[in-house]
Amino acid sequence: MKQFLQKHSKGLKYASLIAMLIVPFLLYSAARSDISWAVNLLLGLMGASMLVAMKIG
Amino acid sequence: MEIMFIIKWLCAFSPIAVVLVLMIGFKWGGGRAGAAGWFTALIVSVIFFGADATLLAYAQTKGVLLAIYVLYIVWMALVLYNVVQETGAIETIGAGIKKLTDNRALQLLILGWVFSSFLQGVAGFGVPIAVVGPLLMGMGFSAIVSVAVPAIGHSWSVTYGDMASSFQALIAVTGMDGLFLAHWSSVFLGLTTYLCGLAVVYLFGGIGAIRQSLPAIIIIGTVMAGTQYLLSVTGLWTLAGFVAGMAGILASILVTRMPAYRNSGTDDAGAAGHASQMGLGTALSSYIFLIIIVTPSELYSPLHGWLNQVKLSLQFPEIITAYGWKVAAGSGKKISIFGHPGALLSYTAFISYIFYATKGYYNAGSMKRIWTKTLKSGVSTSIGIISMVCFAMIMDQSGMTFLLAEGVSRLFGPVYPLLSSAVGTLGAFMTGSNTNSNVIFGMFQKQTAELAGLSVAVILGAQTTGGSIGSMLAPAKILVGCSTVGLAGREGPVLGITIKYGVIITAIIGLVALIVHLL
Repeated sequence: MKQFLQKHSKGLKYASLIAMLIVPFLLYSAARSDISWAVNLLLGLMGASMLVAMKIG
Repeated sequence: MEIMFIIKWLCAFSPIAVVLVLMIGFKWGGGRAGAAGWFTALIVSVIFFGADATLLAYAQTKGVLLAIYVLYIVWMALVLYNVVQETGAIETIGAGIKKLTDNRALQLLILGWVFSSFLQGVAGFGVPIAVVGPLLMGMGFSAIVSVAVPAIGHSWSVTYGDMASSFQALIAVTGMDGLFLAHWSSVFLGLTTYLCGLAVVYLFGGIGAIRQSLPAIIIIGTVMAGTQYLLSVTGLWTLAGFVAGMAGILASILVTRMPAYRNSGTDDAGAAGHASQMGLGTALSSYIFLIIIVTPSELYSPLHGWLNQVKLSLQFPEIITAYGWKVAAGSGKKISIFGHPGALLSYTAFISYIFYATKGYYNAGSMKRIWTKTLKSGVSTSIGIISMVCFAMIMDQSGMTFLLAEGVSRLFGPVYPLLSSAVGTLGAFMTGSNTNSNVIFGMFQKQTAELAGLSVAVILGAQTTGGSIGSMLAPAKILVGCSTVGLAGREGPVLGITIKYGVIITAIIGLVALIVHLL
C-alpha cells in the first residue's frame, strides 16, 4: 500500500485535488434533490480524497 | 452545565489542536494536517454538535466556493510570477537595487524589507525569502541573516500581497465589507511596516545601525504604509501590496541619493551586471501592465460592471442541527468569472507573455517550464487551502466556531484585543499562511468580538495583521528559505530569530489594539 502510494503520489495528488474541487458540487446537487444515499456516498468520496491528501500531502 | 460547556469547548477546539500538533509537533504540511483537521471536525460535529449529512454536504460546497475564490488568485499569481521569472526579470530588479548604495544596512533594508515586500505583492508563497535569501548571501551577509531578514522584512505586506488574497479570504469568510475592514487592518499593518524595518536593521547591527538607518526607515516606511493605506481604504486592496512595494522601491532610490547614504562608488556594481541584459523598465513592465489593468477594472464603474456580469453562485437553504443551531438561508461566495482579481491577473500574465515573447526573452521550452513550475507550487498549496477551508466551514456551520468564541469572550472579555493579534499569528504559524489563518480564525474572531461587545473591525484588523506577522515564523516558509542558502536541516537558528521578533511585534500590535479599544 505504502509502495503504491509512493509510486503514484503525483497522480494521486492531482486526482485528490480534482475530487476535492468537484465532489462538493455533486454533494450540493444531491442534497438539493434530497437523495440521501448519494449524499452519504459523495461524503465518503470526499473523505477518501482527504485520506489521500493526509497520506501523501 | 459549566463542565458540559468546557467539554464541548474542548471538543470544538480539537480540530484546531490536531492541526497544530501535526504541523508543529510532527512537521506535517498544510495539506496533510488540514485533511486530518477535516476528519476531526467531521467526527466532532456529528457526535457533539448534531450535524447531519445534509449540513456537511452544504458546508463542503460553501467551503469549496470560498476556496475557489482564493485559489483563482493563487494560481493566476503563480502563472504571472513564472511568466516574469522565466525572462530573468526578477534577477534584473534585484540586481538594479543592489547597485543603488554601498551602505550595508541600507542594502539590507532595500533588499530584505522593500524588495521582498514587492515580491510578496506579486507572488507570495515563500518567493520573497527564496529570491532575496541567495541575493543577500551573494552580497556577503551570513546565511542565517540572509534568510531571517527577508522572512521578517516582508511579513507586513502579506495580507495585501498576492493581490490581497489573504484579505479577500477574510472578507469571504466573515462576510464583512472590505471597506469596513480596510481601515484598521491598514493601520495595524502600517505600524508593522515600521516595526519590520526596525527589526531588520537591529538584527544586522543593533541600536547603532538603527540610529544610522532611522531616516531611511521613516521615509520608506511612510511611503509604503501610506500607499498601502490609501489604496486599501479606496477599495483598491488588490493593488495595495505590490504598489506599496513599488512605491517603496522608488522611495529607496530617492533615499540612496541623500548625502548620508550616497554611493561612494566603491561598491561591486559589476557583480550586479551579470543578472540579465534586460533594462529595469522592461523588467518591471508586467507589474505596470497589472496596474493599468486592475485600476480601471476596479474603479471605472461601467467596465467594472461589464466584467462582473457573469458570476458563479449557489443558493443554500436554512439548516438546523439536531441541537438547534441554525444556519440561515443565503447564497454562497459569489465568484465573478471575468472580473475577479484572478481573472485580472490572468489577463496581465497573457499580455506580459506576448510582450516578453515578442522581445525575445523566452528560450525554447519556456512555456512548458512556466506550467511545470506553476503546477509544482500550486497543487500542494491548493490541497492545503481546500482542506483547511472545508474543515473551517464544518466548524462554522455546525456551531463549533461560535462555541469557541463564546468561551474565549467569557474568559477574557474586555481585554481580548490584547490576544487578537496573537490568535492570527498562531494561525499563520500553524498553517504557514495568512490566508489559512484568516479562514480558520476569521469567523471565530468576529464572533468573539460581537459577544464581548468589541469593535469587529479592530479585532479583525489585528487578526489579519497577526496572520501577516505569523508568516515570518511559519516553519514552511523558513524551510523554503533555508533550502536556497544551503541551510537545509539547520532551520532552528533562523526560526529562533524570527520567533523572537515575531512575538515582540505581535505583542505590540495586541497592545495597540487594546489601547484603541479602551480609548
